[in-house]
Amino acid sequence: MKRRYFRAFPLLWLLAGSPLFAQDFNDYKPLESSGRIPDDFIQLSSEKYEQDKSTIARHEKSFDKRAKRQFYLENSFRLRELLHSGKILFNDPVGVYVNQVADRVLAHDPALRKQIRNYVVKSPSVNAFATNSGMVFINLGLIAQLETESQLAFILSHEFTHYLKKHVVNQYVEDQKIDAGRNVYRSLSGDEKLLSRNNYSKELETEADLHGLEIFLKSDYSTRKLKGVFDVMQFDYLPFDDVPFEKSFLESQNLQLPPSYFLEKVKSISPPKDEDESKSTHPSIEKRRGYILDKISSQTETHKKDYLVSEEAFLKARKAARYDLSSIYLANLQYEKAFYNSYLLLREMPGNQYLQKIVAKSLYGLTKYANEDDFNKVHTDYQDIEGCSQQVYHLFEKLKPKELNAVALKYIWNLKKKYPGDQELNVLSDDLLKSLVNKHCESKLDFSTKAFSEIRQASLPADTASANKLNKYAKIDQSLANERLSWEDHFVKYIFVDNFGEKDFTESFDKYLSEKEKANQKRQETKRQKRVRIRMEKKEKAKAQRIHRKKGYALGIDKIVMVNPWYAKIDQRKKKPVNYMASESAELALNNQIMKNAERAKLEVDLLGDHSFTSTDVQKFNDYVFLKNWFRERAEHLEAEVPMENLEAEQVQALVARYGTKYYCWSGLVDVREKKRGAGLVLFYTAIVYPLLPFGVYYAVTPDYNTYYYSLVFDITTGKPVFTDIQYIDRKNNRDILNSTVYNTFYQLKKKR
Amino acid sequence: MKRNLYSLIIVLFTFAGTLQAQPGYQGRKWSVQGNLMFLPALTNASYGREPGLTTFNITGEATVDYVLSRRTSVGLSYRRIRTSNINDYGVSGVSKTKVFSNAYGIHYRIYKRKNGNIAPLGKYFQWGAGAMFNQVKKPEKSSKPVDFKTYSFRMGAGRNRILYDRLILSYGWEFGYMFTGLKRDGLVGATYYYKDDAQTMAQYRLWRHSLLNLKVGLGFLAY
Repeated sequence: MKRRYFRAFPLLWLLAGSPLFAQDFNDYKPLESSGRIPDDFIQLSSEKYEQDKSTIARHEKSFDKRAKRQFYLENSFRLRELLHSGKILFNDPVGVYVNQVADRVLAHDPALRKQIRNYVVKSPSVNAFATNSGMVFINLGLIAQLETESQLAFILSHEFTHYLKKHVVNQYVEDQKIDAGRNVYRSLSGDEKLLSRNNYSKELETEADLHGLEIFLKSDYSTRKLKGVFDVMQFDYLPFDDVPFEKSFLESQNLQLPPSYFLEKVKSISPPKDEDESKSTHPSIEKRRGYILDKISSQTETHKKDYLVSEEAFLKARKAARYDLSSIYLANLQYEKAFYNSYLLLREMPGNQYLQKIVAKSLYGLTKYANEDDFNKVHTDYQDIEGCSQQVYHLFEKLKPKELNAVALKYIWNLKKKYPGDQELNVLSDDLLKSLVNKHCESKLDFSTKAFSEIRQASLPADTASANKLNKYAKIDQSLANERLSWEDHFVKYIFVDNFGEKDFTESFDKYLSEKEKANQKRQETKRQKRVRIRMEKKEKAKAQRIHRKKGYALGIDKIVMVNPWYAKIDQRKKKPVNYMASESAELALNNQIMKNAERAKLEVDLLGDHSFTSTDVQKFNDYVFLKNWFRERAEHLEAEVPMENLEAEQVQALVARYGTKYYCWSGLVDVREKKRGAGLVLFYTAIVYPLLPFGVYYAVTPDYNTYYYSLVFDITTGKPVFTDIQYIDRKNNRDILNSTVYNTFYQLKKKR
Repeated sequence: MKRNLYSLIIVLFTFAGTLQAQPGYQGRKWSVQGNLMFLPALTNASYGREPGLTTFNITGEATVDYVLSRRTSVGLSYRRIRTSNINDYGVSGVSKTKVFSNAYGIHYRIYKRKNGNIAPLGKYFQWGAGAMFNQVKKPEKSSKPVDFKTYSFRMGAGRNRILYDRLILSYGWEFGYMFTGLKRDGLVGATYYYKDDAQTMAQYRLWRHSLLNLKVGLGFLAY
C-alpha cells in the first residue's frame, strides 16, 4: 500500500501542479474555478450555522454563548455571500499553488493542514484573511506584490494562527462586551470603546505574527526575505512595479502627444510615516517588522530555502496574479490602474493580445465616461498618486474628451488591424468612431487628410529670399498661420491622416457623418413639418402605450436565464434587522415559485441561483459568478448613464451558445417590516371610542409591511436592458402576491405583440 | 328583457374569449366561487328564526368569473334567497309568509391599480344587475304561491386572496337596490296601490334584504 502511494506521488504532484503550467500567457484567460465545487460553496448557511452553533461549550457564560450564536449566524450567511460573490476561486492554478505552499508550511502538522482550505480572491487589495471555520483567503493583489514563496508562506502562517486561536469569534465576542460595557469595559466613553476594540485587535494581530512565525520556523522556509513582507504591506498602495511611463507607448507617426501633457517630474514615493497606532486595528508596520526581525535574528539556517514548491511555480503564479489584476481593475472601472498595470506587463511581452486588449478597453472606458461628462467617476486625481504611474493619471486628466476619444480610437483601430478577426475590437472601434463623429466632429474638415509636416512645409515660403520679399503684413499673416498650425493645440486634427487612406475607416466615418447631418436636418425642419412629426410621434406613443397597458412589454422571448434571484427579509424594529434564516428559506421557496410560474407562463427558464449547484456544476458556477459581476458592472454604467458597449463579448457569446438564449434576468426581493407610525395615537383615539379598541390594538401591534421587487432582463449581446420592472408593494409579501408578480414578469416576456 | 340579458352575456364572453390578452393568476382566468352574504336581522325574521342579534339574513351565491384584462373581470351569478315576513304571533306559533327568490345576475369588476394586484387578485370595485324570480308562500295551505319578477342594481367592493395557488378567499360588502315596481297613488299622503298584500310585503322584504350585505366567499381558480 505504502509503495503504491509513493509511486503515485510524483504523478499526483505533476497533476496537481499542471493547471498552473497549462496557463499560456500569450493567450491569457482570466483565472476561473475548476474541478469539483468544494462543500464550503454548496453547504446551506443555515446548516453551517447549526454546525457551528453545536461547537459552543455548555459551560460558557450566557453572554458569551449569545454573542457566539449571533456571530455564527452572521458569519455563516456573510461567508456564503462572499463565496458566491464571484471573487473567490477554487482549484484555479494560483489556488493550487497556494495550497502547495500551505502543504509545505504545515508539513509538521497534518491534522491542522486537513482543517485548512485556502482560496484565492480576485481582489486587487493587498490583503489576506482567515475565517473561524478554517478558510484562508489570499487576495491576488497580495500575490502580485510578493517577492518570494517564503513570504507567501509567512503570510499563510499568520492566517493559520488566526484560525487556530479562534481570533475571529473572540474578537466578535470581545466587541460585544465592549459595546455592552461589560466587566472592565463598564462606563467607557465612545472613544474609549473604540480604543479598547483596537487594542484587543492589535493583541490578536501580534499573537498571529508571533505564533505564525513559530509555525513558519517549523517549516523549511528561509527567513531571509521576511523583511520584504513588511515592505509589501508598507507600499501596498503602489502598483507591483514603478516604471516611468513612456509617451511613445501611445504615439505613432501621426500621433504626437503634446509634451505639456506630461509631468517633468512625478511625485516621489513618500517615506514611511509614523502611524497613529491607536486608530488602527493592527500594530504599526515598523513595530511588527521590529519584533519579527528580533525573533529571527537569532535563527541559524542551514538547509532552509526561499522556495520549496519551486521558484518557477511562484513566478508563474505571481505572473498570473498580475495578469489577472488588469482584468479585475477593468471590471472595477479602475481604467487607469488597468492601463498602467497592463503597460508594466507589456514591457515584458509587447505583443501580448490579452494585455493590449485591456489597454484598449481601458481607453474605451475612459473615453465613454469623458464623453458623458462623467470622467471623474472613473478617474483619480493625479495629485493623489505617487510614483511613476502618476504620469498616466496626469495624461488622462490633461487630454480633452475629443483628444481622448481620438487617441483611444487610434489605438483600438490599429489593434483591430493587427487582430482582424477580433469581434470585441470591431465593436469598440466602431462605437468610438461613432462617438467621435457625433460628439466632437462638425464636418470632415475637423480632421486632416494631410500630415502636419506636409502642411507646414507647404505654408512656408520656398526659400529665404522669397521670404524676405514679403511685406510686413504678409509676414504677420505667415506667422499667425504658423501659430495656428502649432500641433500642440491641434494634434488631434492629424491623428487619422493614415487612416483616411483606409476604405473601411473612411466609409464608416462618412456613414456616421451623414447620419449626424440627417439628424441635424430634422432639427431644422419647418414649423408645419415639426407639427406633423410631433403628431405622428404622439400617435405612435399612444399606440405603444395602449399595447403596453394590455400586454405589457410583450417581448416574445422563449427562454431566459434567471441569475441569482435573491430574497432578503428585514425587520426594522429589531436591533439586528436582517433575518438571515428566514431569508434563506424564502429564497429557496422563491426558486421553486420561479420554476412553477415559468411552467405556467410556458417560458423556458434556466436557474443560475445561489442554491442551484451540485459539486459537479463548476461550469454553471463560473457562468453564475461571471454574470453576477457582469450585471454589477452594467448596473454601474446604467446608473452613470454611460452607454457602454459590452467589454466581455467573447464570454458573452460563449454563454449565449451554452444556454441557447441572449436574455438574462436579474431579480430580487426585499421584504421589510417597520414599526407603524402613530400607533400610540390610534390606540388613544380607539380607547375613547371603545368599541373600536380591538381594531386599534390590532393596528398598534402589527407592523407595516413593505415589499420591494425588481426584475431586469438584459440582452447580454448588446449589454442593454430590454425589460425593467421595479415595484414597491405596500403590503406583506404573501405567496399570492409574489406569484402574481413573478408570473406577470414572465407573461410579459413570453407574450408576443 | 331576458333575451337581451342573454345576448349581452354571450357577446361579453365571446369578446373575452377571443381577446386572450390577460394574464390572470398564473394564467388562470376562470374562477368559480361560492359566497355567503349576510347581515344581522334585527327588525325582521329570517327564514327560520325570529328577529334578534343572532338572526341573520343569509343569501347563498354562486359566481363564475372571467378575467378580461389585468384590472377587469366579468362574471355571472346565481343567488338563492329565503326569508319570511311575520304575519301574526298566534297561540299555535308564529304565522309567517315565506319569501323565495332565485336571482340571476351579471357583474363587472375593476381591480385597484396597485403593484402586485392583477385580476383576480387584490381589491376590487364591482357593479352589476340582476333579474330576480320571486315567490311568496302564504301560511294558509289553501292559498296558492304567488310568483313575480323584479330587477336589481348592485354595487360593492371586496378583496380576493389566493391560497395555495388554487383557492380564492374573498370578502367585501355589497349594496343592492331592487326595483319593486310599487307605485304611489298621489292622492293623500303616501298610500300604496296594492296588487296583493302579501306580494307587497315580500317585495319590501326583498328590497330591504338586498340593500346592504357583507360577503365572504370561497372558490377556486378553474382554468
